[in-house]
Amino acid sequence: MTALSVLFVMGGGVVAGVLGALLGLGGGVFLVPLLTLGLGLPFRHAAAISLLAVIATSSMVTAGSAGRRLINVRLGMVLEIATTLGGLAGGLTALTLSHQTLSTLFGIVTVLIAIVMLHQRNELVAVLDEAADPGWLGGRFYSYERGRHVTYRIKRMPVALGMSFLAGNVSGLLGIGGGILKVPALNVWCGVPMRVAAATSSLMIGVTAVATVPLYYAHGDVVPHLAAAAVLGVLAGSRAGLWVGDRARAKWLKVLLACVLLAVSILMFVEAR
Amino acid sequence: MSHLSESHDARTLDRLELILGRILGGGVFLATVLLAVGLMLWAFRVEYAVSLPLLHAGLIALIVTPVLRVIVSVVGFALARDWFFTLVTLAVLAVLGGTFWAAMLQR
Repeated sequence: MTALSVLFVMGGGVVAGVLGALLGLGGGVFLVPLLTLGLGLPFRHAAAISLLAVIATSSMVTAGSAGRRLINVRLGMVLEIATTLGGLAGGLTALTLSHQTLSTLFGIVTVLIAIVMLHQRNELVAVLDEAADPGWLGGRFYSYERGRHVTYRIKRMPVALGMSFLAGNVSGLLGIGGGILKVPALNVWCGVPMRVAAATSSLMIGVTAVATVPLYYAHGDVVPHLAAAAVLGVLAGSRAGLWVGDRARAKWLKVLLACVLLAVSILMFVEAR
Repeated sequence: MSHLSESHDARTLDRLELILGRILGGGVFLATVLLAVGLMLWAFRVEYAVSLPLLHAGLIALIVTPVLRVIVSVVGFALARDWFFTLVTLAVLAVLGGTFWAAMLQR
């Protein structure tokens, strides 16, 4: 029975990792329902496992994209103040909430994520010449879309901070990375090019999860062998997903998975009853 | 900001990005090995006294890696005499400290 659940969790981790990498999500959105609905784990156990997988994904993806100037380390650091505060607050709140309440919240957030995913556009932000001043938080990088080096500036910093706190909070409460909330906001409202927003978000979600996981760990919500299985599965899955993702840019996949998420949210609402 | 100081700035950031990438990659590698070995021993029902510490060590390696990344960033920004970002990074470290403190209280 337990060996079977380890295999199930590892397989679920692979699926979550592949989907996560293909869609630029952490994968937690898929892992948490697999663990709660599929395996019947208490919500916090699922969230703790998912957060550990988020940390692993974050570290792996960041290590892979380092050196291409896509990660804005300075912007990331400033926003991490907000995401870690959100993560700490979310984790402390989660410890006081019931399985039912957390499932309901997860259902609501997955509906929102499905909507964001369907409306997600790659907003081409106003970029400047390479020689332009990026300001204190902006940056420059080589844009493959434009075939040259470009400079971008950050707009509406309070919005970026607010969304980062919210993303951290959701991450701590529900065990998902929160990139799905930050990346579109940074892109559409704050002038951050999509690839930079995604790479910087990948850097941030790891430390954000670290601001929560020790709380779950100390509370006894981490099941070591299941967590290990999930982490290994997600790492393998996101590696495979990144490898495929460069070629396949299927739009229908997003629509399909938005439908999956809507189904997941319905199941979560049923679970919460 | 003069062009000279800006390019110096960019080089420092590039180097920091590479070092951070290496720390994260190394941490994930170490965690993967510990977790894989631990899980294998667990599955073959070798003494739990052996497999369980390995699993915990792997998970803790995973958790410590981003913290190490933040600590190295503090040092990197301080060496570059970028006091504002040294302070920002210290603030992140302080929040993480708050988490570990709150976790201790949980026990």
